Amino acid sequence: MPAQSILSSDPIAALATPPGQSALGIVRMSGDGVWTLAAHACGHKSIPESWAPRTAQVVTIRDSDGDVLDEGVLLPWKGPHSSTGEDLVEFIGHGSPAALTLVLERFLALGARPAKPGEFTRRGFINGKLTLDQAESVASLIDAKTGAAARSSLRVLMGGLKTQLQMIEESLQDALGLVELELDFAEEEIPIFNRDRFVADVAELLDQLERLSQHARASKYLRNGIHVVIAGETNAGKSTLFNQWLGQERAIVSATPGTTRDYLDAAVDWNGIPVRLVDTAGLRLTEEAIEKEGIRRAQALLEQADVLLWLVSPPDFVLPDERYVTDERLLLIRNKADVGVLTPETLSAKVTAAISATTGDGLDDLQARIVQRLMGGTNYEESLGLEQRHARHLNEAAEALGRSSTLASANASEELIAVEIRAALDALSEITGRIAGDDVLNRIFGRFCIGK
Amino acid sequence: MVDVVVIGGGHAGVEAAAAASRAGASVVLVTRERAALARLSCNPAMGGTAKGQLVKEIDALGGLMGIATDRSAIQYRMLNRSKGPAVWSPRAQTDRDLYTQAIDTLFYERYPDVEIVEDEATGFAVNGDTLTGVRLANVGVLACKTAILCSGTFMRGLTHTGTVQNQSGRFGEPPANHISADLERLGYPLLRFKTGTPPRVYRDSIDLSVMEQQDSEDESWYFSHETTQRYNPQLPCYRAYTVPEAHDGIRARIDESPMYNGTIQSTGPRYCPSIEDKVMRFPDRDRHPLIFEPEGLNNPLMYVNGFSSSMPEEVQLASLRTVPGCEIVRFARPGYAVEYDVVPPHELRATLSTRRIPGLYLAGQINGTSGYEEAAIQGLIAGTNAALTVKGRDPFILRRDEAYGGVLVDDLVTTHPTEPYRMFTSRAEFRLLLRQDNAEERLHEKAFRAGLIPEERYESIRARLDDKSSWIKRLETLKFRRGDLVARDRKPDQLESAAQLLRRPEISLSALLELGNGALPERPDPALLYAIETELRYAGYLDRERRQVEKLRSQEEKRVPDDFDYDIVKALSAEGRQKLETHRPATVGQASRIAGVTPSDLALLVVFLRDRERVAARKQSA
Repeated sequence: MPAQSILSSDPIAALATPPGQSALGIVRMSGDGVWTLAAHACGHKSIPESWAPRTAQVVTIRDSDGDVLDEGVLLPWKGPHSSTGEDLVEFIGHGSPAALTLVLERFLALGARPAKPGEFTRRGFINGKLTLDQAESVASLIDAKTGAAARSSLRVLMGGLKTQLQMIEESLQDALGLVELELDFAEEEIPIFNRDRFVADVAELLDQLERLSQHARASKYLRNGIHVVIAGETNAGKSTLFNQWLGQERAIVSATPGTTRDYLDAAVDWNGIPVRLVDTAGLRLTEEAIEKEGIRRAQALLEQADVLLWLVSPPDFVLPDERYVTDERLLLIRNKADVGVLTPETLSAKVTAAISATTGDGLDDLQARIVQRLMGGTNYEESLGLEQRHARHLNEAAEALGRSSTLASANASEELIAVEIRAALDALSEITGRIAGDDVLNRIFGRFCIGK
Repeated sequence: MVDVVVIGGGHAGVEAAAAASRAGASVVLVTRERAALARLSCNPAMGGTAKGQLVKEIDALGGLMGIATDRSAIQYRMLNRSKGPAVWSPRAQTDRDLYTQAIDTLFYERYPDVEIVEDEATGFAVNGDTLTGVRLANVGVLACKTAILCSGTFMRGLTHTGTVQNQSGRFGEPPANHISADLERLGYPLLRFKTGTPPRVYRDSIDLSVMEQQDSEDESWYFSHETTQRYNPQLPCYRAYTVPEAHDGIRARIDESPMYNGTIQSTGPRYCPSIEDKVMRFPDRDRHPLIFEPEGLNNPLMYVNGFSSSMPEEVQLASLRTVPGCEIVRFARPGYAVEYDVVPPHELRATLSTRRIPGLYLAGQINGTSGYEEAAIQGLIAGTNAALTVKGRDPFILRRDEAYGGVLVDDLVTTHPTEPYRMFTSRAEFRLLLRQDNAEERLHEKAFRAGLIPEERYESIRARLDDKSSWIKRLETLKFRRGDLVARDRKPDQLESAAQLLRRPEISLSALLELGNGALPERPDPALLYAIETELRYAGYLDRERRQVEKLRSQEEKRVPDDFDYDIVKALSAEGRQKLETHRPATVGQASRIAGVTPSDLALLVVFLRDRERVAARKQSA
């Protein structure tokens, strides 16, 4: 079979809503001749005259024998004025998976081909309906598990990130301008590159980058969820805490099948942030206690965790294994605070929060602390929908800037400082798009009287 | 039939003729006046930041400029010496008559086969888009396979001093008007650019004793690999400053400046502003520096650097006379501005051949650049490519990570100049790799392959490089006691390799060699020592730049066919499409450097190129 050209606009079709029961479901079709295809699916010989772009039609989808498959609303779009830039139809039907699948199969039988993952977005991009970073955002928007994540992806679509990064780029260009001035106009009477001022400016920029990185971290948690592992000795109150959090949120509990009942796993929602809760005993590895397979699985869970909650409770206040005591993700939680036993003095300083899993006291506070710890001061409702790719470039930029500041303080020569500023700008331009090289010279000529 | 006809005997023209000849072509150089070969039209100096590096590259490619500069140098200074070696930039004051003589002698001694014809080119003979000859005013059509046009400021040259206008390409010399008309006939678009020059004054009419003297530096180094000594006595320059009264005089009559009253519409270079520009644009500055440069050893004139002007002569004179030491200054000639025709460089390929008529090459100011050095490297590149094309060989293209010359040509073909283009080190993203000390190392392979340098020189460069790398290897393993080199070190007994120690700016290779006498019996010569030291000092950064170069290589090597139909890429932004169609980038890397081409445009281009390849591959397998 010849490879499909990426540029072809043959008709493609797919379910646009996730499988599963819901009130409404959408089947989408894009490409050449999809209006005719849809008309045929509705039992018409040709496109009815009443169909006009962006006007809803009440239609009945029928099979080849004329039997009704589903009733619903058909929205036809005419390219290039559609999200894919091609002719497009959206059928909004009842949310029954079975009915929607029949409609999709009908479209396919009439000549559409099943769309590959992301193909609608890709066509949108190739036809100029979306830019590259917008296309990325659409993918995360679709991926977004919760409302907060969806809103933050929308913010990137609106260009919010760009504005902030462009301000940082501006400052860097200014700094670079001064450095280049020293290098390229060696014979001119020019102000000396002020290293103290530069170091101070960089500190400021690093703060801004850190705030954006925090957004990136927050956005990672918004998208992928926070992975919280609850652990502790038997009877420390793990299951009680687990159930308390579940009870509040009415989440679905799934017990993992297997020979060992080694952990429990549930998805809950903390004010819009998806959270995966895991109840395991795996932090204390006594040799006889757990079978090998259980250990392996518990280990894997621990590796993925964003937070490890270790419950300590009377009478024994048992601590986790030595190697977890120093783990940055570990939070020691004093449970059974309602029981009138004082936390031992050696422990009390290390305990992050005191709760009662039974009564629910202190749980809200603990939740808030976890969110604060991971997502920092960012208002996650405002958080920019940053990609992990963005986070990586932000980090590269911050590292390069850190080095530039060290060089400036160490009295290193300007051309090395310039290397680092350029590296930072390059990293940022991976997010915002390339800036023309003349910018630096433009700045120099705009501000200084150069040239003999 | 001649292989290559070079039109114009300026810095681009002489390098073009010499390079084409070295690369094995038969060459005719057409100039109106042999005595004016490679004339220094503006200041009597060569090199400077980034420009000095260009001269070194020209020398590494077997060109003339480095040798001629050394033979005429009357002052040497290494700019940026207080900074890192990557930005050290050699500069020389030159005797303008000796420079022209040196070039003339080089042709006489080394290029006897280059025929120098005194005539004026008036147009081209073409058959379709094939060049068949160059039309000369006296001789008629000179049949040739390729031609290189290096017209400098002569095409429709128009000089201005106040309201006095002259049809002239350079002070007192007639313009070349026919060739402009002929280029238009052939469909080339033309732009107007402007540049300027300061007055020349009589040395005996100024009191240099009240000015700050700038002497040649003591340290001996040269522009050319073949120079072993200074040829001439050294002369100082003198620094002075304008005073507020000088500015007042200019401000009072600013509407007589052709730049300010609208007579000159074209924009001049911002890096070389006229004195009236400086006064008007930076009103808060109460003084501007001036440097009085000698025009030559026995030349009675001085060049007033910093005082470029197109004001009326009496305004220039009155203003300059307010400067201490210049009270009775006399002009040999006033400053003036010159407007001239430029072909927008998007007409060019990276070989400097034009897309419209591939046999016609352009080099120098006609491509919108300024500066002797910028012109010369273009001439060298164009001449080499013209010769290689005639011989049916691969083109000679320098990469951005390889030479300032590569940066220059790439910038030309990817940008739309709004002012004359001057080289700066900040234009080179791989500045640490493009040093004045390693031009031969960077370029000897390509130079030899194109026939630009003889085998003996190539072998001697190779031998030197082997020497260098074996030194570096030794220094990477040779250990020293830290306490012997680092003052107040906390671990004086710890051993560290010489390479490691050299990353500390305070430790020099000579110091190491002193200490390591037993293990290192011989010593490298000063130039090699400097090269080794630089390589080791910068090691970490150089590695980073080299990795970066590698990372970009795939983009740089991904070719875009010259006939690529951008219309099929419907989603290109309007600006991106227009820019891509105008510049017709040869590679995706070039496309990425065109202003107005967005990352989305670039991604689209890559998608479509890949699709085109896939379709082609499918056709082949079918």
